[in-house]
Amino acid sequence: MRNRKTMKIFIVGGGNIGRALARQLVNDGYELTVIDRDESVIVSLGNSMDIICLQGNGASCATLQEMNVSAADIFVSVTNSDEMNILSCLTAHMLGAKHTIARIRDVDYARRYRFYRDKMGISMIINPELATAMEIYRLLRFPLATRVEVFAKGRAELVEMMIEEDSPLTDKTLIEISQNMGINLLICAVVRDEEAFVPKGDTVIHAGDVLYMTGAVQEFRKAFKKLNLPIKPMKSIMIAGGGIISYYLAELLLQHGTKVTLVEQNEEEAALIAEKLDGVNVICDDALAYFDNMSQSDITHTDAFITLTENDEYNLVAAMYAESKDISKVISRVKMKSRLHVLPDDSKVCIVSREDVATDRILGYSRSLLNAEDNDAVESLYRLMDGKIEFIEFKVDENDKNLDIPLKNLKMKRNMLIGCIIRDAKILIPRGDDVIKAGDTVLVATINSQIARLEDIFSA
Amino acid sequence: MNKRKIISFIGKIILIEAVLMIPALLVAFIYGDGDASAFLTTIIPCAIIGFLLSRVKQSEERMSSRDGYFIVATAWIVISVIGAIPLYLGGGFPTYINALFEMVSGFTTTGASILAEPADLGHGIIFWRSFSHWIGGMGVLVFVLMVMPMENDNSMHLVRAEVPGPTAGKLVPRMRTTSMILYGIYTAMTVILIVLLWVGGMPAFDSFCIAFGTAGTGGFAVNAAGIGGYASAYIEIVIGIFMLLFGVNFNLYHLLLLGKAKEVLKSEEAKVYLGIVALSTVAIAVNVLNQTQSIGKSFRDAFFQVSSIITTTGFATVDYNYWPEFSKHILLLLMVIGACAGSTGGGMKISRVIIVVKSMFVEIKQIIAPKAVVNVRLDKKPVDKQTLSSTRIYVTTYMLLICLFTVLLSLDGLDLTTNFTAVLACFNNIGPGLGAVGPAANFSVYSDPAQLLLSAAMLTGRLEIFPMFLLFAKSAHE
Repeated sequence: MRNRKTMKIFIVGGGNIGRALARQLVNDGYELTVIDRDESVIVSLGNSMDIICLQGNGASCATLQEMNVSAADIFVSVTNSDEMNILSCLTAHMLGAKHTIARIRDVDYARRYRFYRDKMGISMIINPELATAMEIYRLLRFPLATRVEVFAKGRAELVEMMIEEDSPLTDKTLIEISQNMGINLLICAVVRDEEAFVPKGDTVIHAGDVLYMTGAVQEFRKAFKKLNLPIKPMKSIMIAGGGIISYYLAELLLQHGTKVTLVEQNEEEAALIAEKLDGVNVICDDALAYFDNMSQSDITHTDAFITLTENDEYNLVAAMYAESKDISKVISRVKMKSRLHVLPDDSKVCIVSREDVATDRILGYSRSLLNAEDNDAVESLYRLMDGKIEFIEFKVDENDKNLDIPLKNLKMKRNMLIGCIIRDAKILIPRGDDVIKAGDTVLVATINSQIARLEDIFSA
Repeated sequence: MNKRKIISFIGKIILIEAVLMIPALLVAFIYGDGDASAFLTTIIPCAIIGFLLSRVKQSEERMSSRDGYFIVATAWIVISVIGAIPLYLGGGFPTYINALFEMVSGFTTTGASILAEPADLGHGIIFWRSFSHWIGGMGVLVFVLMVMPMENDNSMHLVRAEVPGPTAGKLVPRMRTTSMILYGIYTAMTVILIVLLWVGGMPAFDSFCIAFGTAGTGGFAVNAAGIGGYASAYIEIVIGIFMLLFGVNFNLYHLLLLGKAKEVLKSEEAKVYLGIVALSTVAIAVNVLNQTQSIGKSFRDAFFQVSSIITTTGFATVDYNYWPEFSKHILLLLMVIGACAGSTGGGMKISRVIIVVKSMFVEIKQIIAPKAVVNVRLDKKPVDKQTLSSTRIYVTTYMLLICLFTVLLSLDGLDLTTNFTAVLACFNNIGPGLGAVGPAANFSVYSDPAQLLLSAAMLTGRLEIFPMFLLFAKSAHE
């Protein structure tokens, strides 16, 4: 296994995504170099993190040679410009960088991402805007969830849910929930008073707990139905801001027959999105002003409000305003996590962050490179509660240790848990008699520790 | 301000200082001069206090630029105050202020002494005095960053406050690795020097102490006779060359190790530095020719003195108080200029001089053609505005402070040459000045309050003014 201390990562672009990514990678112990054109960005990054910063053009061969990019294990280009990212990655690839990751968000490029990957040698394309739109879309399907992630190629889900006073799960033990209520889901982690832990069979769920549950997509539907939790599809949704995330999201919603109202203040932007998306009700107005003009019945018929403008402060105010109007599901996009403190503690606004989505993807990729010589491939990685909880999806092959041994005979480390085993497109909630077989995909939950291999969860 | 973090950091520094005294303690045991108890009575309480302070629970808060500067300034005062204790306890220093002056002089790599005959001290104390040069040369905080694991911290603020020169950069992404590379190069060069001196016939103990003094560009000798006392042209030349080497920006050595010799040759600062050395050596050699009566001897003396003064080491092989006025004035100029940025030397730094001189030419061009757009360039790259303005402010503040310190020092009653060169010698961390503080004399001519003032000058000069100012700025304590 490679040591992350010796892994060199280069980032071109120190914007919101670049900064969030750099912070996480440095905390995880990688050796980092950041290149940006803007001097003020370079100065502030260099002052706040233990990394090397260089002012320059990240697509220039001379700059990259000067920084010895040929030694790079991972080269990430996350500037605002797709063309710049593609060119930087190409140049770095030609100079000998081992793996390159480009951020590509333009719809036209993104559709042909395979071309860039297979023909142009870019190892991975990330489209944070599209990924964020997908995350919002999943959230809308489970109105009670505060976060929904998919794994096993979309067959299984991970749902984050806050337990309310009147929830049917309150004051029940895990055993009661699974046996008496017949719910075939696994509660992998519980967060209580900001502390995360792996629950046991006799753990009692309290009101105010945040639960992380895994299971098959259809099992979630069944369970929600049994518990009388709302799963009704959203009929009418309002989006503030006409950026790229809004575009992707509106497109997804339209495909599933949801009515979308999109409010964008800028006339040109509004015209552009109306041109590109047929069927979306585009309004050129300030979202808050538009709220005041809506009739009460219009507001009651709005199932969700999603604010996705470029301005964090605006998004949060708009979200709180929508919450005060009793809109059942409110989602806000936030770039800088520090801004979240303005939200009241009892707020039910869901937060999505393009920066987190991009960071998770790239971290998952670098984690899988750490064990490139081993055979566990990290399929995906999700970080929750500021990285306290991690969910990692491993692909198992025949060289792995601990295969075909019943789980009850293996000793699991503290605060680690197997959340799901996916075998032949079936999702198993692991019990003591289950075994891990070659070819399985295994979802592992870890609390306050980071692992790179499946065998790390078992004590020797 | 992040008080807990500062306290815990200072605790770590005290702990490390206790560890750094152990070699001196061992030397004291080996020679048995009776100074071992002075070290023991310092090390044990220091280790305990340092350990307890370093355990202070820190808040999660990140270190700000202000915290960084504050830590650096406080750390340098604390290590000097503690380092002076064994000197005072070991005898040889009449008052604690004398010992403190000597220790500040050690850590700031000044090398100014108040002793007429250092050889009267115990071997352990002589060793500790010289070893403080070695630690102070590359930087105490750089050392701390190397040995103490730091997590999630903005160590750049510490480094910027401590590493001399207009800009501070890293060699590799991690600060800790950077510190290791710097100390690695530094240690390797010191070891080579020790061997060369020992081979040249210097006693083993002396070669360690003199090598520490040379590497840190400090200047404490082991006896009153200094380097001249060895009466060896070989030793003089070896030390002369090594002083010059330690006055070069250490980043260049790192480039050399990476095999980028071409880039090293392009360094404008290094070229100007060597040019100034060559020119001054020739000028002084010709000027002192009728005193030495031999071309070889006059070049040897001129080179050694020039190398010693420009790198702010302060070793001497002749008493240049008796040199012609022109030569003395050249030395005065070299005192102000100092060595390269990012080296162990002090002074204003060559790169600052280059930037200021070039700014002057740019100003002239702009008077001739007011609309011309002209850049100040260093190594063919335009110097950024922030660096330009901070360099200009630094140079101005530097000049004003030198004047201020000289005026305050004049209260002690000595003449202008002595006071002015004493301030220059202390502020630029050189050691000996001219007049009553010349290479053959010592700083005991000054009273205790004057020695405290000069200690402050040494610390202010070593940390390049602003960290020290910050300690007294009201806004920094809020």
